[in-house]
Amino acid sequence: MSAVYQRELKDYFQTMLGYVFIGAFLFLAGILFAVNNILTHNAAFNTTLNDCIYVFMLTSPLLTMRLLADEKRAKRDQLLLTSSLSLAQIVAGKYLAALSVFAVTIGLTFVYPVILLLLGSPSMVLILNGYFGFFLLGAALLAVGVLVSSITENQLSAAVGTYGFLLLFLTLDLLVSQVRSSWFSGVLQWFSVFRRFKPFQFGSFSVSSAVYYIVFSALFLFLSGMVMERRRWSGA
Amino acid sequence: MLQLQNVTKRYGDKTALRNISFQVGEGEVLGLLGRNGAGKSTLMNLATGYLPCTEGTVLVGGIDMTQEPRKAKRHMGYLPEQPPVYDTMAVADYLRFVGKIKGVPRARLSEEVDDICERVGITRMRNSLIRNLSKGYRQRVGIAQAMLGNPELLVLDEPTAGLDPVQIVEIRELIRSFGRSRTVLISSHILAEIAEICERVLIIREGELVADHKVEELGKSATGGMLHVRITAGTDRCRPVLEALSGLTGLKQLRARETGAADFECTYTDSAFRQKLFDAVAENGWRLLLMQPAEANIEEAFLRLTSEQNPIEPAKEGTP
Repeated sequence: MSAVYQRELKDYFQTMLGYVFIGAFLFLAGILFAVNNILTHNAAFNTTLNDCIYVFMLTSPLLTMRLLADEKRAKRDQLLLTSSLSLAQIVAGKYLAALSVFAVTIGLTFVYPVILLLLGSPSMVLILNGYFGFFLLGAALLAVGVLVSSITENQLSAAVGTYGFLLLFLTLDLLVSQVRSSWFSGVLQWFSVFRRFKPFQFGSFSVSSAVYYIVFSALFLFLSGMVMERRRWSGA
Repeated sequence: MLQLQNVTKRYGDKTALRNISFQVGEGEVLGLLGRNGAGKSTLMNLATGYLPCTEGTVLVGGIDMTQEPRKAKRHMGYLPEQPPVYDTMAVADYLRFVGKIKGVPRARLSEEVDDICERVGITRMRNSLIRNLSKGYRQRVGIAQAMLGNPELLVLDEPTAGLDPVQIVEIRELIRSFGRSRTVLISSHILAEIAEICERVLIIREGELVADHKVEELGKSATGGMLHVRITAGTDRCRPVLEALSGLTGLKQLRARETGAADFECTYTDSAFRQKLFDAVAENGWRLLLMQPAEANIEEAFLRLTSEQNPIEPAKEGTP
């Protein structure tokens, strides 16, 4: 698995996709930081983190769109699937590479709370808690991207499909307030990917949300493996 | 080393391969011949575990590919139809990556990569990005990745496709040298290539194994069946005489190359056909300027023998 992980990680910076993702994310997050915190003299950085979810929704397909789709298109999956690697190792290696680039990127944004620290006295525990939740949410969204990438051979289709999935999750969130049935609303809230971030944003460490994100990610990665296995059987 | 037992592959209602059984012994070089779309690549994909069988069993070194796929795959190297290379990687980096995923011990990895680069003739290119390589060199990199780790079984799907004549000769020699100590399964739609490299040939047609020959038998049936003749007479006069000869199964007029002479391609089954042809030409007072096996069309002749118009020859049990 480490060979796949290392190759993918290196590839992000050989194909420029890694630089593009980091650059775009930092640029847009920087604008949000300036608007939410600097210009308004506001030390609540977790609001910025919450807004960064949309930035990540916009940029995350850059990390995942080619992961499995391009292997299939270039028929390199024949190399991977006839090696001594298992499907789980292939999917995990690729996913962890994307997750690492994401982790490094949000690590770089830590310069913003440091600036706030120089200018005021924000609660670093609150901010770290927010970062932890944001990382888990990002990990879940990346797993969605990996699944979509396993379905198609075309990178563009993978990116568009990922946007589709993420918008669907967002729409379900919006539906929560519109649904009259409290039972159904409760179910939607429970499943909502974005609402699960709220406890982290407001300073509470939610074990259930953390477990939810981990299970969510594992489920989507498992489904990615299933899709690849199914394609082997169907020869598609 | 490789054994397929009643292997069938279906995609929905479509049967890509039907009840294929054969085995390849250690140190044997086996060719898989068939027209494009006959099922060669599917068979190779099944043999290497890239695709699962719908029915039947694939055994590599006695290990069941379905039961213990990772263990079975450790014994083999595979070059698919399209070399599975990463354009953004340098050749040596790519080979190191392949070595790792094939389970080559780290301590031996650099040495093995250097060795395989030397054997395949890509040492000069080892630091070049794969996207900058010519088609021939990409193919060599593909072969190098298959040979890496010195697998006991090498599966090569049309390894010389798209190469220039010099490269083809080099790659064939490379495969032959590998085949001296290892088992090789190689597919091609070019009979001459298979005949040159392999000891035994399987012929596959529309997903079925239709013949299992020693290469010597193959050569006889193909070269003995077709002649290119040039006779000093007009086409109209020659044709009825040739058509009347017993043993002739096909007559095709070719473009005339010499003034006053007619060129024909004769397909025959009777071993005495050449004598009859010579006698017929002499009796009519003509001269035979050329009579040679139509070597350029060996593949065509052979595939014609196994084409849809010909009955399927029952495949012999493939034993090494």
